[in-house]
Amino acid sequence: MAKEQLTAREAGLIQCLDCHLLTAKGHGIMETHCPRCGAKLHFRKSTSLARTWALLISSLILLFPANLLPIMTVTYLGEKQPNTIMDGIEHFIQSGSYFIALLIFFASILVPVFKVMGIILIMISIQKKWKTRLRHKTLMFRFIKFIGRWSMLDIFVIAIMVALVNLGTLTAIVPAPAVTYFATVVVLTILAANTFDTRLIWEDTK
Amino acid sequence: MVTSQSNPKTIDPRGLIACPECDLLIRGTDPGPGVKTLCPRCGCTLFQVKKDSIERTLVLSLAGLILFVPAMVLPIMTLDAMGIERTSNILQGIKALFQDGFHMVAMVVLLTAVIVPFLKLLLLFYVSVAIRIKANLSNPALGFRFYQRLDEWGMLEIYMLGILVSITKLTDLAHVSYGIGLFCFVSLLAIPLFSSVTFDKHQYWALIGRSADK
Repeated sequence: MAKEQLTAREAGLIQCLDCHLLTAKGHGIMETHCPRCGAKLHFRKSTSLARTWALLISSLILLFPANLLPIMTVTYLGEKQPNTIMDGIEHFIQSGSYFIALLIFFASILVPVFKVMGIILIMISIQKKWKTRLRHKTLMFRFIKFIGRWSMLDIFVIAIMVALVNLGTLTAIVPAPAVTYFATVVVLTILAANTFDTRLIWEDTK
Repeated sequence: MVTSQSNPKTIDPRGLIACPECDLLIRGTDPGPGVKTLCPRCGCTLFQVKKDSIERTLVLSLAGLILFVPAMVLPIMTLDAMGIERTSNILQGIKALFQDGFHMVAMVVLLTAVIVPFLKLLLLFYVSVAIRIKANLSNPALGFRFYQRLDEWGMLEIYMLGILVSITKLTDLAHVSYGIGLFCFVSLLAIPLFSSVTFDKHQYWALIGRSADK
């Protein structure tokens, strides 16, 4: 049965990724734009692999300063203490908030790393033409795309704490350099998931 | 499913849909309200017809627009420590980041927690009015495309989780109380939740297409 399946591209049809309208190639005046919504039409997202690689490699590099440098400086009763993401998680464990510790660990460490590694794995499998486990790869990507935004959690927590905990020079929370790196990683990985075209996984798989 | 026995040259796109994730061609059928159609090859949700999608979304987006300003401006929580009281809302958090010199991070928070969520509600309202009340509003297609592109950059629900984490973190340090802004914020948050239940983008596109044909 698999041999009989036809993709839109093989049928000479282009799907608009904004409104999902199918258009026959060479439909006339508005050749390169969708006749319904006006979006640019491509059989596949243009230079998808190159763009995704560029974004992923940048995120991979920035992951190091994001995790190793302090993300905020906590001053408590005059005592200054720089905190990395991992330090913050340790604090939660020590104070007994295991659930929050786990949540931050997932959102700030596991998800960004898993996301970058996961997409890299899918990209390599496309370029090496490994044509197995296609459905798993699609499912994994769908999951990565869904979960990626939640890494913003730590940034929001810092934005809230910085405004609230500002009790003069004695007790205050001030953001530290890693916050910029971390925010950049989150933005870049979301962009990477957007430039990636899942249809490449299924290309020439018959 | 479309088979290769049909001659490619005679394929008519009408009545066909393609899977957005794997490009498989499928004969579109109308399964009736509430039924989910999945791609037979990759398992992607192709569409799910929903009841009164546009009317409900119209009302929900209007409610969201009304709640938006109080949710942003009223205090979300108050910290009381050593005789000093500090109240905070989303905008103050962004201001604090900006004053500490983290301009880029402040911009990212401003975009994902304020501007994009507001634009999303506004665009959804605009497009719903344009296709439901049939006012001669210009270019609902562009508005809806913009809405779809912005969709994942609105992160209010993640901000909410951030509030919860902060509360847990701060209760050890000081007394934290909740402001009226938090209730507006939670209500505002419920709107995308409800609208994702009633929201059917394919119906929007079908109607946008029909009004463009006239």
